[in-house]
Amino acid sequence: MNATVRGTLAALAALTSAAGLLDASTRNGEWRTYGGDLASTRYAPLDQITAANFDQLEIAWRVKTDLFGPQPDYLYQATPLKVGDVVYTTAGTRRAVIALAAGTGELLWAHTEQEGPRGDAAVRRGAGRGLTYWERGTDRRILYVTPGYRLIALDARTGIPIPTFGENGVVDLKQQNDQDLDPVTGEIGLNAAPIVANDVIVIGAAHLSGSVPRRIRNARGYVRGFDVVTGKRLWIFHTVPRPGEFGYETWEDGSAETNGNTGAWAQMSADESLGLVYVPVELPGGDYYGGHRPGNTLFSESLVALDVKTGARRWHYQLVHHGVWDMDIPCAPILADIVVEGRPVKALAQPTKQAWLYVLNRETGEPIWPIEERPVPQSDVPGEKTSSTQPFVTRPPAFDRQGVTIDDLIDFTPELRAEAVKLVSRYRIGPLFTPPVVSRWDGPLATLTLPDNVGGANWPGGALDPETNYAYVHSHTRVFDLGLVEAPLDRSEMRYVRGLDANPSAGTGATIIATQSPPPAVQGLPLVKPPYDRITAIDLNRGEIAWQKTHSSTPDNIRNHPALKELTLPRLGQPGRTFIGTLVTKTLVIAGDGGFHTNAAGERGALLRAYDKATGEDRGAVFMPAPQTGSPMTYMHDGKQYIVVAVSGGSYSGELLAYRLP
Amino acid sequence: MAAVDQSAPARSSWSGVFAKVQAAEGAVLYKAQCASCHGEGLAGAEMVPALTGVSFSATWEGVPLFDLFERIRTTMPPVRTGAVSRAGYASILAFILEANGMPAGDQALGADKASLAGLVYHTYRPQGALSP
Repeated sequence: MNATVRGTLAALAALTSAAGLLDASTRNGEWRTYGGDLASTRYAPLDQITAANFDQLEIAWRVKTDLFGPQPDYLYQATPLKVGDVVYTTAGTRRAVIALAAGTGELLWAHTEQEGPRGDAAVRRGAGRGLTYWERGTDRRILYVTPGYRLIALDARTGIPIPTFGENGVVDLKQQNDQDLDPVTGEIGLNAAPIVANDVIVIGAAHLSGSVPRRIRNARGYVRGFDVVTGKRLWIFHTVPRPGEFGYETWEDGSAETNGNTGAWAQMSADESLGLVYVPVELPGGDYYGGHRPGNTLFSESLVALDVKTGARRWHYQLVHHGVWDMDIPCAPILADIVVEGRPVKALAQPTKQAWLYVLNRETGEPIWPIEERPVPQSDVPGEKTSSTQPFVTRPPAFDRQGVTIDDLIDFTPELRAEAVKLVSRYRIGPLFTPPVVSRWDGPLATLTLPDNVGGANWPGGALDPETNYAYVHSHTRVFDLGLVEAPLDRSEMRYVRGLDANPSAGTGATIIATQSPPPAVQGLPLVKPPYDRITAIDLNRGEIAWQKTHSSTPDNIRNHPALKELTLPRLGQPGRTFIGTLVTKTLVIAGDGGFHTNAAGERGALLRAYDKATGEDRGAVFMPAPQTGSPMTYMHDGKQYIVVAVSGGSYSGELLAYRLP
Repeated sequence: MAAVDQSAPARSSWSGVFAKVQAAEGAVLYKAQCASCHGEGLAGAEMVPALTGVSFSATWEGVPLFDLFERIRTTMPPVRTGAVSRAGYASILAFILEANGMPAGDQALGADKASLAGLVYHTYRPQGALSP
């Protein structure tokens, strides 16, 4: 964006709330960044597709991604970009970059990196979530991170690496990382789309999941900024501080020296006029046992605002102290210029796994409404010292259920409820922040948590209508059994890892590492009441929930359950881990089902749904061959509005679907 | 297969379509090739789908076992699909069916399309189906 346009938008902002944040590209019918704009609104003010015609949408083009990797991809999570007349996306298990004609889906070029053992050892496989576009004058680039953790810059016109960027178009991200990382086995990667702001490309890091970590001192997920022109490293931010750096003392007993992870694997947002990038950080190693990392351990589970030019920390806000629930901050905060009691505020709204939307002043990190430190239940796990208090969001209300009570249990019939109550008696239940327990067969077998360890919300994050300052967040409702067992020496250096105690009468004597079975269920039905997934609209000006709606279609295995046959049930949602991104247009909120169902015509698939953005009422749907797995985006081409979404799952491999009106 | 009774429900994952010993062989293969990601209890992990339970059932309810077999055969284990034979994949599938509560029968589950395409995955025992 040039200075003139920015100035014009800033003037508009004074009149019309958040307009100043918006990349002009979505107004022009493009989609130049992963989140639609650097504010991560996933909003485009397009109005050709409406409630009146949504049902008439037809496939304009479709691209199967099987050939972009050695195996087909069954979890295709990307969101494409659209610049000029070209759609760009990552695709396939090799994470190729492909350029497609926006009107037809015809392949214009493809780029792929053969990374050998380094790629095979990737901690984040698959097509990833997307890529990044940057331009200056006639220099137009596509940038992305490979499964093997290398940053690649390509000429957007040809797909040929930019020879003057890094080393022949490549920056090896396992180097210049202030730590020794083996090029092949160094346990670090990234499947998020990087972000470019103020000509700096910011790169986070991901690791293997931490329920049973092999090592305590794992690789660290530092954040770095690189010059988007040259690939030169400009700065590094130590998410685990070094001696003398702010926050080092929050790792008690010198534990900053002996821990790893604490990466930033989520999408980020940026405010170019403030010169800030907003970095969501995960927790250190040991997702559920913190005995090896005493203290509040900054910058774990913190949102950190960094000067995008220098990497200097402007502010941070820790959402969870000494976390033992895997409440990694999973997605980009949504930037919004809100009006609170008549006062304009540059704010951000951070969706989370724990189902709170944290609304902060994005210039200072101060909460817009009080976030209170309140006492929480304490751990009785040997060696564990949980924080005596945790920050409680007082406004807006949580967008999904928090904590487990008897009232939350399945209640389709009295028999199912009775069975659920009996089952739960073997577990510890309680409010949010009830800590994990050492698993005992005679009880408690585990702590039951709600939301589960992957949300609430997760990596797709939310969306924003900047005209009304309604934020839209999808979340799923699913219990998690959080038990700990002593770690076998051959599996982990940790004292405790996630697991369940053995049934002594089974005679095996061995505890079950990781977990024995999926979340506790009653006759194959989820332990808790529906809805199983939902979309919530939150008025950011007021800090109130505007509407909430069950999202996905009921799957066949629940609809046809023998115990429910006699009941007339509304839409219940999908009971699995559904990660659904929402798209906002001039009048609609658009999102696809998170799982399969069979429709009245006997077809198996999933709906792409449209909601009235003011009320949440259903406004239309089209039937897709598989569930939404990437987040939808929209653009204009030759006078037609397109909606593009990545689908996959079950026996249906990854495919990009583009819809338009006849 | 027994003589076809037109009034009987279609053959499904509940029709005793695998052998007990085959599922035991599948358990050994599963432990060696699959458990490090999907878990010893088939429960999956943060980024790995469960192979039992309500979300697995939601995905595969009503789907021919051949489709599930092909999904496993063509993608698992990642990067090392050649590590398991067709018969091995059939054994692993038998183990997954057993873990989901389905009964064993007299014959082993076949590893060819003709054997698998006519068998449908059902989460619940169809009404009126006889125990094998």
